Amino acid sequence: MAATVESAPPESLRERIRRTRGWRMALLLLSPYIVIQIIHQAAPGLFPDFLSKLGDFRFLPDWANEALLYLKDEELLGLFNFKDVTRTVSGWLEYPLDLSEQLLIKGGESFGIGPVPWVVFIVLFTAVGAMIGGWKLAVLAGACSLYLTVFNTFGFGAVPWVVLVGLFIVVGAKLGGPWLAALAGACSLYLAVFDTWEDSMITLSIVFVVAPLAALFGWAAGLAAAKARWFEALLVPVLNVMQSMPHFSYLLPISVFIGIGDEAGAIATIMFAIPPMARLTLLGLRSVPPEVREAGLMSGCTKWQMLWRVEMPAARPQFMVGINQVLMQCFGMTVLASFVGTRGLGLPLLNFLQSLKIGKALEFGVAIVLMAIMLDRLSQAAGARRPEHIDYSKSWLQRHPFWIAGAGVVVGGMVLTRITEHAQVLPKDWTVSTAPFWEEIVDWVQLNLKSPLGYFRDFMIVEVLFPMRDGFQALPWIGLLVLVAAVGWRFGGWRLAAIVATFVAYLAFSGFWIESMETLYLVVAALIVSVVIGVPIGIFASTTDRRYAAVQVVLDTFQVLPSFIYLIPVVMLFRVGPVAALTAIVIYATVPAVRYTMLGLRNVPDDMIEAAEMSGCTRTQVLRKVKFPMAFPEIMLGMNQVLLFGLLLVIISAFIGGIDGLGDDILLARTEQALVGEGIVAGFNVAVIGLTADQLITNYARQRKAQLGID
Amino acid sequence: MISCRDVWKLYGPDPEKFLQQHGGEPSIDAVKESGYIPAVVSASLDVMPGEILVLMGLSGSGKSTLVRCLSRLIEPTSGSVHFGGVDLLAASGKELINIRRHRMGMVFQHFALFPHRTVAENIVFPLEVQGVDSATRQSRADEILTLVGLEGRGGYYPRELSGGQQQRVGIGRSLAVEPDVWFLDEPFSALDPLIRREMQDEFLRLQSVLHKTIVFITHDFSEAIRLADRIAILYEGQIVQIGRAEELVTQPATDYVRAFARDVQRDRILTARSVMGDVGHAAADAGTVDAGAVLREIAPAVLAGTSPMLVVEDGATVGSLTRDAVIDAVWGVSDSEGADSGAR
Repeated sequence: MAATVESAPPESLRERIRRTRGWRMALLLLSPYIVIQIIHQAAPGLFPDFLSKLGDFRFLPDWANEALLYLKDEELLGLFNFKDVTRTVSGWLEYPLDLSEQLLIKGGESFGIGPVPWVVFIVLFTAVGAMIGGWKLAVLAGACSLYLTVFNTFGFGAVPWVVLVGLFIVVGAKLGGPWLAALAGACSLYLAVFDTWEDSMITLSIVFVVAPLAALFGWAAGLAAAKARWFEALLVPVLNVMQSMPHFSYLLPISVFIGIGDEAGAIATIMFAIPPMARLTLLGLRSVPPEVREAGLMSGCTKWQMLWRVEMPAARPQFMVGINQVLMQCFGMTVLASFVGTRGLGLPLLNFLQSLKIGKALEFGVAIVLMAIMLDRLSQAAGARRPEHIDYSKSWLQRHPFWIAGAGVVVGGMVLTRITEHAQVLPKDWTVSTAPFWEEIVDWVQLNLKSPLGYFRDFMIVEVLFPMRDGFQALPWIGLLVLVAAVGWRFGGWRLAAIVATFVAYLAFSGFWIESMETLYLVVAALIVSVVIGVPIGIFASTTDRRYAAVQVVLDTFQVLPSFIYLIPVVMLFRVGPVAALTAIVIYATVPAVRYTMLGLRNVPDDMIEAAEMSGCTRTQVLRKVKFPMAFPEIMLGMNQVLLFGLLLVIISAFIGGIDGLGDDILLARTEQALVGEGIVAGFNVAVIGLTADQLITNYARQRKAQLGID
Repeated sequence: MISCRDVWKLYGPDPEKFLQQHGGEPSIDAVKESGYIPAVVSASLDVMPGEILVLMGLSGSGKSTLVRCLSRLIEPTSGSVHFGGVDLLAASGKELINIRRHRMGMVFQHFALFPHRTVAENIVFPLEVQGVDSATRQSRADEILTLVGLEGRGGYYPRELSGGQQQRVGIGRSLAVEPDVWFLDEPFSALDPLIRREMQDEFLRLQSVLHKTIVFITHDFSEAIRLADRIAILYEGQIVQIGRAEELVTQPATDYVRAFARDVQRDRILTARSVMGDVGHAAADAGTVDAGAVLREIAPAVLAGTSPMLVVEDGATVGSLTRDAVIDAVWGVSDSEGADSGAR
């Protein structure tokens, strides 16, 4: 024993600390914080006040306010006014938005717009088509946009609902077979039958304009990042911040610089949908196998040929995932965009929710969900398609059944509209509503469950949430900074420690420390509940393939739901306040907790489990001693997602009221322009909280995975 | 056809400067101590027109890097590469593209087919980027499809084919421009053993028709022996030995080469010339064998006779072959030692 100790090289303190784990490690990392807390509590005299609470620093929000006012009112460099520029740019969106709406619902009449935007429009659509689907799709997109131009010039009626439902069915059948056709048919029929058709079509018309633009911008950004390292170094942090800023924060400056209306919502949505597309484009181009690239080089490709004939087509599957993400972001923003006056399904939903007409709100919520699910599945199916050889022994008709069916639907629908007007617009008295039914349920819940729910709510607030909140708010900022820095040092060295310490210091000096803690506490509370619920479900679901598949379907569906939807049932049960918000966050954030637990456990190599079983482990022992330690880094990544999801929803929950924190400031800024700067800083604080957790957890997971030798 | 001299490829910070500081010839230890990764170390070789040169080495030996230096897919740190008289490293981007378009073809380990193109479109891709018109491409695609045995599959997509068929497409693509030099980077390593064997036969068949200059990479010594005119063995970036298979077996330059040569079927490689003894007093009537014949072919005759046979080359008697010499060479008692001494 002594001999081995002697022969081993002397271990530095740093290495010994690095090798410590479990509770010793936790204690070690907590110790500086504990020391600070002890001094703080026991000898307040020794502890200067400014280390615990900073005075009312307002310089950041004030600067932000002034900067915004300057951009709004003054001339930049004495040349132009920033607000004029943004309004001009948003004005360009007016044409396509209007056309798209005419086509889908309003019906067109000839109105004279200069020819230039149309040329741009056609070229744009054709280019996007060429990008994702080669020349065939380019021709199709070009033809469609040309049709739109003609449509606009001479004026036609809107697409009849029968035609659109039929086309969705045909596209579903083409992309994913009978099941997808049935799904697409059912979803689009719901929109018609439940009298949400008009609003749905307005939403869809915005998506038609926003999605291609966001995809194009995101794609261009991703391409530039893939080709120029410096641009990637610039872009990735910007994307990180953009994606962890709450949606509301986008709306604030937009309402100032664009104003209220469809364009504002469209631009906010574009901004929110660009990051995932940019990321996936970058990922796609980076993951083209080096051999394929070499094959291109050895074939004598020029740089240009390399890009367009080798890299772009090879990265197409990732582009399609990106477009799917763009579509999902569009629906995620539907409700939020209505805060800046964007029409569509979101606006009535918002109004019904505010006037507590739950039944109606639910129907519109379901409409958004169904549309999102339909377009999600369709675009996923489109992305999963791989080319197949053409069987020339079949006739032309046999080879193109879906094109023929599509043409049939269009012609048939046109004929039908000549026969009956009902094929053009479904008459009101043919539509149904389940709203009274839901209202009754809500009434029943209010009547019969009022006291148990009320007791639960009050108990939670008084006994759990408020004490927890007070605890968070009593934290001296320097203590949190030291704690976070210690954890950062452990998992990423001095560099990471410096980064996260800077983040915490920013929070302390931002002027929103108390509000940040208020937000953090609610998210942490939700995190705890989500873990308690989500991890067992994940463990349960990971055990057999059938459970796994079933839970996967449920999770995928939840993932598609726009965040705002989660508020509807919660308001039904708890009305307003922190318990309602907590419940909404928990429902929303449990999804990643389950998903990552499941993923981590399923990825444990089979032979490792077999080795444990052959060693005589019981099933619980296998789980506790082998699977769980192996899956732990992945589960921690799940926690990271829970936190990020929670942060986004905690801000949205501010809308239902009754909770303070950053969300409240952002919401307040929405109604008062003078406070927009504060709202932006508050939104930035949310992003910083998210990024701090993200940095710590991803670094931990990377380090631990490397130690375990997983991917 | 290709000749490279003192080609170095180091990975690490500013490797050019490091090489200069050490006068262009640092020792391997110096390279490693300074934290550089030596992928190719002072490699010099010549590929003769029409020969199959196999670069053989285990993974990480630098064989893939070396072949990419020869085609300049990887920029060597120093050294020179001449391709058919052209200084490849001095060629401009445009010249390089031109050389690749007309004079080089390459086959990849994982096929590297373009998933979005049909088999025929993959095959004529090099012609397409040159701007060859589509009618010519079509007829060339048909020719190549026949050549590589994929008639009727032109409209299929790569993922619809088996691994062996996919590599046939890869081979077809690399031959589409009728290149002078053909690089094959472990082309059969990703295939099942039976398919690999079949593809090796196919490769030899193609070469008997096409007579290309070939640089072939493998980590499989038996594959190297089967296909090569000459073999270059690489170890840690260095070319340890270049020679015919027989030379590697009979005169291994290092223990590393010896270790490879140990398990080969010697009777298929060793010729009468390398096993024979002095003419001595062999009886003139014992029969003759050709000096270049491998033992497997002549063993029955030698083993059946009682007296040594004469070894003749170009009509002249150059030595004699005893039963013991053959037995010793093929089944040598103490494995490597015995076999080697017998060979000498």
